[in-house]
Amino acid sequence: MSNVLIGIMPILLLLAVIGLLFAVGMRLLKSTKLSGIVRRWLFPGYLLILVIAFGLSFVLPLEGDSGASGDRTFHKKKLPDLFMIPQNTGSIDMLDDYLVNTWKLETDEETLHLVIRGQENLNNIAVKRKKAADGVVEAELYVTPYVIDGIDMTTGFLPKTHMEVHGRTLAVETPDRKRVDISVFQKNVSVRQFTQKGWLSSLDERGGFGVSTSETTGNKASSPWEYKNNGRLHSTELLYLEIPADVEIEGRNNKNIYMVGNGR
Amino acid sequence: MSFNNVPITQIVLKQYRYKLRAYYQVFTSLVVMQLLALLFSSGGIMTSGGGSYGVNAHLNTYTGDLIIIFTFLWGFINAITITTKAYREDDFLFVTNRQSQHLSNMLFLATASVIGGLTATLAGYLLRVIIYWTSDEATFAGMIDDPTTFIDPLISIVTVALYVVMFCAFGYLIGNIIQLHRLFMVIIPVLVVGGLLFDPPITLKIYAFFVGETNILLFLLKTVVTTVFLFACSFVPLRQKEVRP
Repeated sequence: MSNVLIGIMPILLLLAVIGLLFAVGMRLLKSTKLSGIVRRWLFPGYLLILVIAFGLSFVLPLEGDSGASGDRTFHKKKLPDLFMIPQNTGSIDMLDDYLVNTWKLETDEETLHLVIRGQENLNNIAVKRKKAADGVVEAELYVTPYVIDGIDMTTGFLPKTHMEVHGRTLAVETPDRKRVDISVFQKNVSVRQFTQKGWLSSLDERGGFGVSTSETTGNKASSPWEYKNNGRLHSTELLYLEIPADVEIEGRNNKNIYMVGNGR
Repeated sequence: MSFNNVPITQIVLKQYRYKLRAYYQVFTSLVVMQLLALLFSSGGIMTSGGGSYGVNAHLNTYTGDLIIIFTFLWGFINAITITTKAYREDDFLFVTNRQSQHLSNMLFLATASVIGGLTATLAGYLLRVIIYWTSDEATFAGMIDDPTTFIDPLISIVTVALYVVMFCAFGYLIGNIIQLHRLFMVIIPVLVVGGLLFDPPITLKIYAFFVGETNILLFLLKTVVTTVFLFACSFVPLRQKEVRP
């Protein structure tokens, strides 16, 4: 009972605030400070603005089908899980679309101590030993997009990761998290009611009104794929290192560093 | 005393035309209500978020839903308002009886609902234009649903108008019941809040009955029948009233 009361309190408070604002607005309109002309032309003027906005909405690229905005729509239903791909396949050939940074770092050391600094905990590191002892560490950072409601939230916004060799230390400086706000439109409830798939499916589960069904997508634990679930795809990251044949690499926590085969 | 036999349709239409002009402030209040809703909607109606490597992402969803909800409230409040004594007295400027008074009120509320449906739908497009111009192009992702078609505004106008007229009918019924006895001013809110305490709440069932209907023709049938029923119920308190001297 108390849960229900707590639940309806925000609605009642919202209604009270709306009522108050409405009363203040109407009192303001009735005051002598606002002339009769304003009151007379308020509604026709508002209507005119609405009609102009309606016309403009069909001219402006509001649908996000052009320019940079169109690129935000993510159509794929699955993404490679970077925590699984290198171990399962021994290769990163399928990850080209998700390459974020590359480095080529020269070293003449026999052992490199890998140090990860910064806010992000980059703990998925695959290492492949090259056939040649060419004294160059080649590093690649892969990050898959983070998708909410079919919108790619991260591509183009990822802050830079830095990497360098200092003597026996291979240092990775992960970035501080950056806030990204993406804006999307949704059709009005009056249109969604008749056009949206799975409309009110959550209410259906709760109340059993039989209004719609929901799509089911799964995320298999052993699968190298991350599947879309409720319109979401989670991002995974991978630091892929190719080290010279005569170099050893070690880290503070070796379980996050694993060797991969000769797949590439 | 007049011996002219004037048909009721003529009286109703005359009163209806008068009300369209005299109750002009109803449309001013509609503007105020929708501008308030636009203001509240400009910050986004829903935010989904999450973190990934290097990014804290927030998806701000903009929709005209709040404008529509405010329009429902507007219809409901105005329907109650026109049942008050001050408004009822206005009708006696004309030759009238309780029946013609109610019929002209209903016609007026139906017209106001269509105007409410039209402006609420168009205000949704105004919101889109405002957000488009105030957003950074790189962070603007457009429409999350299927592209807008030319039929969408029409569906929206009809649907919102039907909802608003239903809210008006409900408000009009409540207003008329309150006119019977002031005690109903307390009893009705208590019943409404009490209905929310049931599990599942009765209001949720009513909500699902209308909002959960995805077939537009069935929705039309449900709302029209409900509206007619509510308006018809408004005639019941009318029987208790005597003819004004």
